[in-house]
Amino acid sequence: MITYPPFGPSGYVFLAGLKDIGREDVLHLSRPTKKMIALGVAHSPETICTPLKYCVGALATGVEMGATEIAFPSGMGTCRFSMYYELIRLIFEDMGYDDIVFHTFDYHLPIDLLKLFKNLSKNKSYAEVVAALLRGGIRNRLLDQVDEQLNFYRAFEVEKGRTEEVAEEFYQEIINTRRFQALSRLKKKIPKKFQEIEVDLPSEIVRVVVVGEIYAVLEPGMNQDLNKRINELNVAVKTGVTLRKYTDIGAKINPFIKDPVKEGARAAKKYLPYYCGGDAQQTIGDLILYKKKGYDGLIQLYPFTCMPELIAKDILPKVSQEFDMPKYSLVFDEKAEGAAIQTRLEAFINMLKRKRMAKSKENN
Amino acid sequence: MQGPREKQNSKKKKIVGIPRGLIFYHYPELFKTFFEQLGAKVVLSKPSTQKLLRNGLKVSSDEECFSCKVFYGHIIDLKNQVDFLFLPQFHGNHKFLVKCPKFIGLPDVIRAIFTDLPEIIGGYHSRTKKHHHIPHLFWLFFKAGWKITKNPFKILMAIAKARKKHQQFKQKQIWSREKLEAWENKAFSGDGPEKVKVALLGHSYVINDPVLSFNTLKKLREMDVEVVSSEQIPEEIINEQMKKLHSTLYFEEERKIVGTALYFLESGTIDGLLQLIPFPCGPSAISSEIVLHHAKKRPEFPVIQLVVDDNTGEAGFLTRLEAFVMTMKRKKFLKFKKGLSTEQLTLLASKTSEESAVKAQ
Repeated sequence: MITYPPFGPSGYVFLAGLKDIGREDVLHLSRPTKKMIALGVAHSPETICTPLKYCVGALATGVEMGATEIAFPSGMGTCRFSMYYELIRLIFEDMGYDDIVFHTFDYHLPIDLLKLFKNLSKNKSYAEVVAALLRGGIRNRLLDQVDEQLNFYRAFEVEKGRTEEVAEEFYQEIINTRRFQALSRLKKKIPKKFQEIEVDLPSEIVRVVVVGEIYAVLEPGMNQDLNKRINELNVAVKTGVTLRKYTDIGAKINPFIKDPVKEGARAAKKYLPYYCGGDAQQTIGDLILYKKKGYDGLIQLYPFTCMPELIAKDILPKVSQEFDMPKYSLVFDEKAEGAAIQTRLEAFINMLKRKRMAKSKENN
Repeated sequence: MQGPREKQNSKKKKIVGIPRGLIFYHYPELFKTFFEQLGAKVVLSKPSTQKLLRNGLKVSSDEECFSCKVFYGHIIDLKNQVDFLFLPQFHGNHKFLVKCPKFIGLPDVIRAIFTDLPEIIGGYHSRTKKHHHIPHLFWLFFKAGWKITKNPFKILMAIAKARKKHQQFKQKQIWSREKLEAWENKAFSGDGPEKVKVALLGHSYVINDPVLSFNTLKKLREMDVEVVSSEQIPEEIINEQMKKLHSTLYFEEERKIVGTALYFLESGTIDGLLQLIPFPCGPSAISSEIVLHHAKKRPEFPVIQLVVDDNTGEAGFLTRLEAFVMTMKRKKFLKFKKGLSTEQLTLLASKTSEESAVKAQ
């Protein structure tokens, strides 16, 4: 059985991709539980960034559930993420899991991913593997679309839980659809279905963008369902960092579409001119870009001891002051509790709402 | 009456401030010689003290790495007495070996935190980028020199001299393979049980800094311990040891630490390994895990990893250090004792007790 670390709804891309190339024995791990996290913390180094602890815990649980193969990216980079593979290998050796096969690839090279998929597939031709990867790209975009709609309509839904039901249906549909035509039909179907949900829209919609380290933003097990918590306060959320932002090769090659990664870096040039690993430049750039788009506030999420985001966090106050955009930095570690975040979050959101009200009064 | 005159003099000579932290310990001679040759007055910040650290803590965020907290202190120390502040953004001069991301980001953070900074002399260089080669580095130096003097020949001379000085420093710092082997063999033949040999693992800016390292190097020498630090180990040994890992360790300093640890764990010619980790250093989390993993395979080999931060008490740190040294000495003594007769043993015991009595006096 093959497994990979849990990665929020974006993990469905891996699940569907592996099923496409003929692997039926895939173990899709659910969101990290307290038990998994405790296991991970017990075996990881103390000051490593928190995603590794989550990955170790989840993968170890997967191995205990019967997984024998693990797929994990490696390579050479600037921040510690590229060393995760080596560390997980060493930790598993210490834990006594000797007979596990690791599949790794350099995540900077799309060719490497293709080779990995060819290795993993059972007697599939290169054409079929390429088709699977293409489908993965389309699914990535569709998941993004669902995420965008979900985070908007969930805030104003009349019947609680209806939007999530719809989203869950779409997740299953995206995984199970294989034909290209059907996938492109889904693209139109998704916004239509979400619009059918009964909503109670207020006159002034407060919007918040969530950016930061990719794992902290995308894994609800790590950020304690932050998007849902904000939605429950009647505020629309936009996920600023998605898997698609970094992996959509089609959008990167297309000269008519602006690459959001490069856009962010360009916007942050005055404050953090050079790439220093992770999403640090994009975090600062997004504050400026989303201010221009009319968003009310920015929430930065990062795991404890994340090096690039800490740099961004130290620079953000100055940028936030200059652009008059409220920001809030939230740090997550393995001891993060929902209730502790809730109070702070409510204070921040209430501040945004009051600011919005004052502005609208001025205009009137 | 001397005040205005001094001011006049300082106006003529531009003052360049170099903070004594992080990159300074990698290139201590290079930058200093370069600016001195240009005709500028170089002011190094004072060696770190507790007061400096406390100043730094006021401006730094809580989760910042310990060495960066001290670095802020150095900036505060310098910023009011210099015309230029030297803060390079140097990410390594190798195709894929890099330094910690803080080496790029920290100058930008400093620009954001402090409002009253003097002009910054900097420059970004990372050999991992496609177009960053030696000419680019040369151009950066030239640009930095242009701010001090407008004489291009002077700048060229300064670059050449600084480079020579740096090479001399490196030659002095890094041991040759023969020297290392001679040192190890000396340890084996033994100067008696009192002297033990330890490899000190850590970043250059931690080992050489009095506050970050709690003067470990000095304290170890006072305790009759012979020390080799990870920065002194020749490159070729480290490259050999790296083959034991499955993927490339791309952090330059961690490479040295892990390489040194693996080398001595394999050869076993020293008595113990001591690693200094500033909390919460990013790259060190990786190196400590790899060192620990390989040390587990040799349970009889003493390894200690001391984590230091701004709340670490000096007394507690010293106790742990002393306990570690005592364990090694005891172990060596027991080994030494096996080969002695009873007469020699009583002699030795009386000798050591006499010595301790002298020391106590």
